[in-house]
Amino acid sequence: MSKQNNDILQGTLSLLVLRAIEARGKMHGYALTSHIQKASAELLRVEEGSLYPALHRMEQDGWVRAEWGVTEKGRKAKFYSLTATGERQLAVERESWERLTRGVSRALRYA
Amino acid sequence: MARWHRLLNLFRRARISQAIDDELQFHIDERVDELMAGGLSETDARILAARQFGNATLYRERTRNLNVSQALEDLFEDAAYAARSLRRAPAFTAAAILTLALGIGATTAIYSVVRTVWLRPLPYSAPNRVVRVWEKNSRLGIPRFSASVPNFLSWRERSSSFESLVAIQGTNANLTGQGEPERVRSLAVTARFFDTLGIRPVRGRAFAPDEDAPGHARVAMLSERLWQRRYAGDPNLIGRTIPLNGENWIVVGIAPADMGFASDIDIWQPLTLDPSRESRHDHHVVVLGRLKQGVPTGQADAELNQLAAQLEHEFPDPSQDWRVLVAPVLDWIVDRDTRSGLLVLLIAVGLLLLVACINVANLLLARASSRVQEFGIRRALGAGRGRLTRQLVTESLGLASAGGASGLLLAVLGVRGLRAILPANVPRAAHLSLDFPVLVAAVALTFVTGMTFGLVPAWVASHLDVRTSIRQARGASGSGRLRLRQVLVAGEFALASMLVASAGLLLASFQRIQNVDPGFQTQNVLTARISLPEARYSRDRTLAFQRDLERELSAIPGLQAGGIARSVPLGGNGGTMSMGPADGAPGSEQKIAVAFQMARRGYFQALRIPLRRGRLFDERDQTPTRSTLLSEGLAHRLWPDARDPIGRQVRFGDGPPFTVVGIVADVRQLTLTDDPAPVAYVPYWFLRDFFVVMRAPGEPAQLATALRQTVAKLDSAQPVFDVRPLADLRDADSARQRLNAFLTGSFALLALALGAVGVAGVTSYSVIRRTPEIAIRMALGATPERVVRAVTASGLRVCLIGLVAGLAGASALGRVMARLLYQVRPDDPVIFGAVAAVLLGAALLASWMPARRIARIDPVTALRKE
Repeated sequence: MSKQNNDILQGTLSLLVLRAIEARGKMHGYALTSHIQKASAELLRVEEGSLYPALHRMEQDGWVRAEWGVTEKGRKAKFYSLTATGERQLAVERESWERLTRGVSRALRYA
Repeated sequence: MARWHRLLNLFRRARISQAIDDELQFHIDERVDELMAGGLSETDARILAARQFGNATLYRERTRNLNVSQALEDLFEDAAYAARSLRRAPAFTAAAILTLALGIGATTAIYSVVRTVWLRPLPYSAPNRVVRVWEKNSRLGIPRFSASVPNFLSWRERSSSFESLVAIQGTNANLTGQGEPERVRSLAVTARFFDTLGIRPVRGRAFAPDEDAPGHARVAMLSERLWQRRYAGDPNLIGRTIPLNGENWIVVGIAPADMGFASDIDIWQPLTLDPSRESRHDHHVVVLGRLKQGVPTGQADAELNQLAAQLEHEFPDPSQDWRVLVAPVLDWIVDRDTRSGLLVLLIAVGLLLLVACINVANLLLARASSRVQEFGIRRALGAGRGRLTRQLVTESLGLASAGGASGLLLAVLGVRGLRAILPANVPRAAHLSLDFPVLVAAVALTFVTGMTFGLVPAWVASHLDVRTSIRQARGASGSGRLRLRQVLVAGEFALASMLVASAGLLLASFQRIQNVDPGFQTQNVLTARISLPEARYSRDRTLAFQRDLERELSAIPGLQAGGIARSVPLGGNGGTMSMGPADGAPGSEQKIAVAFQMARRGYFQALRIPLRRGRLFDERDQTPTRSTLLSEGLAHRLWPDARDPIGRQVRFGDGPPFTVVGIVADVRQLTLTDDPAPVAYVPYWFLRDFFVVMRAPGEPAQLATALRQTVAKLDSAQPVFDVRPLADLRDADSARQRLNAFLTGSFALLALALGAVGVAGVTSYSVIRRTPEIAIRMALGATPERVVRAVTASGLRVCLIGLVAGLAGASALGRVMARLLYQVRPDDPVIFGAVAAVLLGAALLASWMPARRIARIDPVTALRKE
């Protein structure tokens, strides 16, 4: 897998994760995968191998805050919530995503 | 912030890993729950969940790497790996570390000398504003000279570039009082001396501005050394008096040990200038100054030269063509010869270090070829090119660090040794130490060294072809590496040749200095100094003492000759005067700067300076008659066409005429290496400070007792000092050349040895690599001798290339050394020929020894192994 390709995927992944946390509030990694899957009507499936490194990177960049908590079932889990930086980042990424899709669909129409 | 966390996390790796495991485990557990809710058994659910999850270890690694600084962790791993692999090859490791230690240690030691003597800032406030003001005269061929007191006073009055200008003059004093009477060196300085340099006394105060005025109370400062040695650092000494030359002087302060120069000075006294007793002809004070803030040296120089032109107009005779040179004080303290010497040593030791680096690079390459398989396997298992390179560099840096640490030990020993053998006339050498900047330099050097020798093998290893390297440990790729190693060895040999050639030049130069005929005979002569205190010795008493001393000397049994003189040749106490013929029209005569010597008859006899014409001084010259003896060269310069200068007249400065009574042979009065300076001798010049020279068969030191007894008989309170055989003065004069030759020679020998080891290493490598080929040749009928010859020749060819390049480099280096060479051209063909012969001999030996092994190859066994 070339690096460039990976970057695009990662960029999309962080947009999806940030948006999911924005929509649902504080949540753990497993809930994130199921939420994205459901919200995308099973179209998108998040790879665990990408999710956790991505979450940790976002935590280091200060986009999300992580804390250990207990689920309803009484299991210890790490919960992620959005920081102010994360919200700004989400706005930026959403903006650029929409610009990209607009551009791509136009290009497709006129091609 | 994030990076900081990741660094910190390095030390809590276990906890981080645990947290990541927990998080991932939670994910799997949730999935299992979900699958079980869908109707699967727990076992199936677990298997499916694990399968869906994928490579947990990889995810864990990836996640963890985000939290921990991977580069550092790799470094730890690499370091541990390097340590293991170095331990596995102890002979290689020891050889490499020893080589590096020699290079780094020698370089550090020499650098510490360069730093202490040359680079270390002077202990003054704003030292770059402190300058020395020289007088110069291009017509007399004098580029730098002391100043006359009237000129100094004119500068001080009329210039505006300086905050202050001070004059200093060396003298010495008899120190009596408690304890043995002793002779101490003293420096007389005008009152603002300490302000001008910006030096604070360690105790008490410096001189007050009016303390150099005539008739002021006698005040003195002591050096810290004398204060500690003689007065045990007694703080109550300040304000008390000490007897100097029979008079009481009040001690007002203690000068610090490091004054930047004058490290042998023990007493500081105010210099009282008496313009009525001074002449503009008489250049005898050193002038230092502090430039005003913002005034560049060039501006001060221009101002004083303008002033010198004015003075020439006002006082045409004594000031004719005298100009001024203002230069940083460090240029005076550390003169150009010292700098060139240091530079050459630094270059030499740098070359040695480079040779050491190449040698280790070669060792590493040799090792790399035996590790080809290891690298191949690691590459095949997925180690990245960068990772392999990094690991090899770590190994090199590890080697360099070990070499650097051992080198530092060697440097400590080296500095200790250098302190013992550095000639006394090397400025500031007394403070030689391995200080912090030197340590920093040594560490930097170690690092640069490690990178230098480590990169080549790392590059080679990272360009391995994985498949071939696993299949054959030695083989196809070997020839490229052999070429690389040959290039390295040729380079190494080139550097070694440069060093050996430089050492050859310096040694030849030193040899020639040893063979210089100074014009006098140094063997069996003792010199000593006597300084009569003014308080007890009037003019008449001084004369009587000298007359009595000469008479008593002639009564010493076994003494062949003995006499009194103002100075001794090569003793560094020479004085210079301008003089010219007094028989031409006034003003038209040519003036010459001459070494000026007062000497009695016995001086010429003791030193065996041959008389060429006329007569020596005799009883006719006992009282102040105006007769003079000239050196041959001087007479020839004064009257180039005259057949007989006897009876002609000369004039010193603006003094009365003197009649020439004799011509003596030229002598090297000031230094061994300068051409004999013109010398003028007078029989009597009133002085209380003079030398005694004595000649007797046998060890000159034995004469010392006889001299002391003789002097004690005349005056029991009179010390005799600076008692030295004349031969020692001669040795001291060439001590620097000896040291340069010795150090460069040692570096050259080391480099040559390393170079030879390198050649031998490459040759034996090529023998091993070519064994099958050689075996075939021998099987086809080639005699062992022929094969040995062929292999030796290939080693020799590599050296020859290096040798040619090295000799070219050496003649370039010779230009830097030109200042240090005496009667040796920097491209002297004889020396270069000899150097080439030595190097070729070494190369031949180094190629032939390993090649000889070929004779022991059994073709059958060798071929079967293939």
